[in-house]
Amino acid sequence: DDEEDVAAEEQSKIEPAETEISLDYDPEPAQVEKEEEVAPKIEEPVKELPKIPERLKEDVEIDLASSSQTEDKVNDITILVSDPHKVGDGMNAYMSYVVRTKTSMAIFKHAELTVDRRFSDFLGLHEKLLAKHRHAGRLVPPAPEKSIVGMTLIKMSKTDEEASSIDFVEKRRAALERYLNRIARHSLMVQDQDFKDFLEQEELPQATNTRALSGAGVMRLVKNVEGAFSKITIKMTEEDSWFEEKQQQIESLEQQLKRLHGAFESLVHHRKELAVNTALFAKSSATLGNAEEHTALSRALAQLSDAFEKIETVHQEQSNTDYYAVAETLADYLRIIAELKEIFLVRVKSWQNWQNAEQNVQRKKETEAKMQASGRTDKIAVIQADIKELETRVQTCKSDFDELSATIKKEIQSFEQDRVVDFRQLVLIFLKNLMKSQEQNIKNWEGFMPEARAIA
Amino acid sequence: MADANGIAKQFQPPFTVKVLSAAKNGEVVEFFVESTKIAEERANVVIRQHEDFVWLLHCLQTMENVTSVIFPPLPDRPMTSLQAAEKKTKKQVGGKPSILVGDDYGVNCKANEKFLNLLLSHPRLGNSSVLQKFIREKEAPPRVKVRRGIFGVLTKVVDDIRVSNFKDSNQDFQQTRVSNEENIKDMKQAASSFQKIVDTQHRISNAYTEIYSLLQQMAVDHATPVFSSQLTSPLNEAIQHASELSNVSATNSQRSLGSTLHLYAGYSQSQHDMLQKRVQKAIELDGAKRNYEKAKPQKKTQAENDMRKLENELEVMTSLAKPELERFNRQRILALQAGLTQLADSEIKNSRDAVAVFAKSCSCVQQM
Repeated sequence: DDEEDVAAEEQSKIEPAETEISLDYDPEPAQVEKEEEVAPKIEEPVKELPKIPERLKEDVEIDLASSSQTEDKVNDITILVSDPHKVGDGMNAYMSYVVRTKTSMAIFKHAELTVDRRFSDFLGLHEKLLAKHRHAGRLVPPAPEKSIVGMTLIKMSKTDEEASSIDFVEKRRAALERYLNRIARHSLMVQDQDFKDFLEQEELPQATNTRALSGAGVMRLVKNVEGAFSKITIKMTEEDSWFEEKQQQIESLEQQLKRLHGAFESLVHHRKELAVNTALFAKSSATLGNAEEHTALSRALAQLSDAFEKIETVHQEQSNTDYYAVAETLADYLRIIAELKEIFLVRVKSWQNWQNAEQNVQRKKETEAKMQASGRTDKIAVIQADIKELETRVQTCKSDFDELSATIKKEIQSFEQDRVVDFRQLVLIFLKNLMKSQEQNIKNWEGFMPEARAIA
Repeated sequence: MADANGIAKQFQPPFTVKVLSAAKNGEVVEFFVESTKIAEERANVVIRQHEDFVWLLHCLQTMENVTSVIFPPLPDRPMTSLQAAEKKTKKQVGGKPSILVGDDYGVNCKANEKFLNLLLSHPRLGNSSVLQKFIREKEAPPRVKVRRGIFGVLTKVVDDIRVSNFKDSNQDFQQTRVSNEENIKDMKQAASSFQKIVDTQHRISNAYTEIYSLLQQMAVDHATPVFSSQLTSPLNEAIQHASELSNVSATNSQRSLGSTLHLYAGYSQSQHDMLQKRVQKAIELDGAKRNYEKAKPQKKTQAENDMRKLENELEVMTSLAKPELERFNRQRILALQAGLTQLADSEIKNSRDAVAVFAKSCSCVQQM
């Protein structure tokens, strides 16, 4: 089944590395204005979908598509992924999602689009984008991760309700949504035909090349092994200090993000624990209240139980927001950095081609010199023609390399800008969340206080 | 002790006690017990160990005229071993930390203080010389280890079964016994689950501190940290406060409702012991009655005397138990009320402070 493509799992694994990136991004006055206008728009949840946690949508969603781009151009497009529902039975079951697009961009057929997509469709899109853009140095947003455990849970669930309520489903839904909006944010990729088809077409040809034992799957495995080798063997003389600096910055960034991500996941984990313990105490309090003979105390204990149930909800919401707005965003960026490194590799290979071409010219010239020396003038014309051809080839390789470097430079600049916006948003949501939780805590306890006072 | 209206005058404790602090002296934890006599200014400080408290309770329980008294439960022994420290660290920090949580005897001090004040405010215990010697005399009383041999434990178990099957003729007492059994279970559960909340709050506090340290470190180690210095400042402030908030909430929770639940879970058990003794007396009386009925003429008088004696004793127990139970219940309700109001109070206050800090950080970031 294409959901259990173990080989493909390798691709989306986060690779270890270190990066640093310049954060001293000072927006020019014009851009500052723009940022205020377009400060990541919070989308209203589409009303017919009761399953999207309302509060989550309002507060958490980083409106990726409408944040500013390098060309001061904003893509007015927002994509929502919702309504996870189970399709099929037994081992052939899978989860399907509704993908809703709202846009004013002329390149799309309609202002509003709605389609059904399954996870392998998303992976299929990713494969196509990689094939088209990575070699050109464009930063393709990483696809959400596969999960064998998650998929098994879905196949084993007995009802649609049960399937949709699994934590993993919500995590995946959110990840798919961020994924599509990241693509939509990219000035070139938003116009990609495969991307448009994905959002517009009723039916998509089933993505067969994400299956485990398909030809494509095997090829991927081979490429990964190749890739691993080339990382070890290719050494490039970096002449552009900009690239050298950037790579170091990205390494440093990766290091920091890894640790931060771990620390936030730990925080989320403990707060979830707190929610569970709070619920347990709420039960204890209710039991005590039931058994209590003193009327006022009995009522107070019952109210205490209610208060703690409300507190449990606060903790759950807080940990969810911390998870989706912070931890998952940090994880996304780790995956993006992994893709950045792939692009650097592409550039290295391009450089290699150029160097090889230069070497070929060199060799031919040596041969020419030898011929001159040994007086073999008859073949010299041929050699010289060869040399001319090889020199043209060198020019092509060099200009390819230069073009690639220029594209990558732009992509990285765009990445840095996006990161500044996203991380500021992340901090803002985190802080707002802290504040909101405390405000709710005050309300809960102020509600309970009179009951406590009334005991005696 | 009752006035003209038959209402018992509120007993005034002759002293008030504070347990100021505790310090480890070798393997032993020493508590500094300060007491002030009513209407006097000068305070007196003595040093006592946990074993002294054990001995004190034992003496009080075995002295004259403590029929039907519900004794406050003995406070927990302070932990001194490395293993205990590791266990506590695991609960409060989670996982395998490199630094152990320090010895904080604050909780023990408060518990010991409460224990002594409860004894002092009991009408029949407050004036006892044993108690007064305990809080006033420099020299601790000779520490004789209170032995509870295996024999004692076994007979207790057998007694328990016999006692719990005994149906009390007095409806009220029967009802009280049944509620008490239920209450012991519920209180233990409540105290334990509340403690879990407190522990988890400590864990969260540590998690925030982790993040804070990371951010600090990254600002130093890396030329370009993840968050710009503009962002880091309000973020750090908020995270630091979040850590403090969780820690303070945990401490206050434990001090208010936590300690009350823990105390009354133990107190409920004491109540059980008191009720138990009365039932044992009733069982003894039943035995004496049967003896009397079966007694041969020459033993009849003796049997009758025995029976009468037990009847009296039971009568005394019952008549003393009633007001004791009322007093205990009243105290319990007031204590729970205090615990609940203190908890609500501190939560509101701490959250208000936190909202102010977080709001400031928020607006700082929003203006950027």
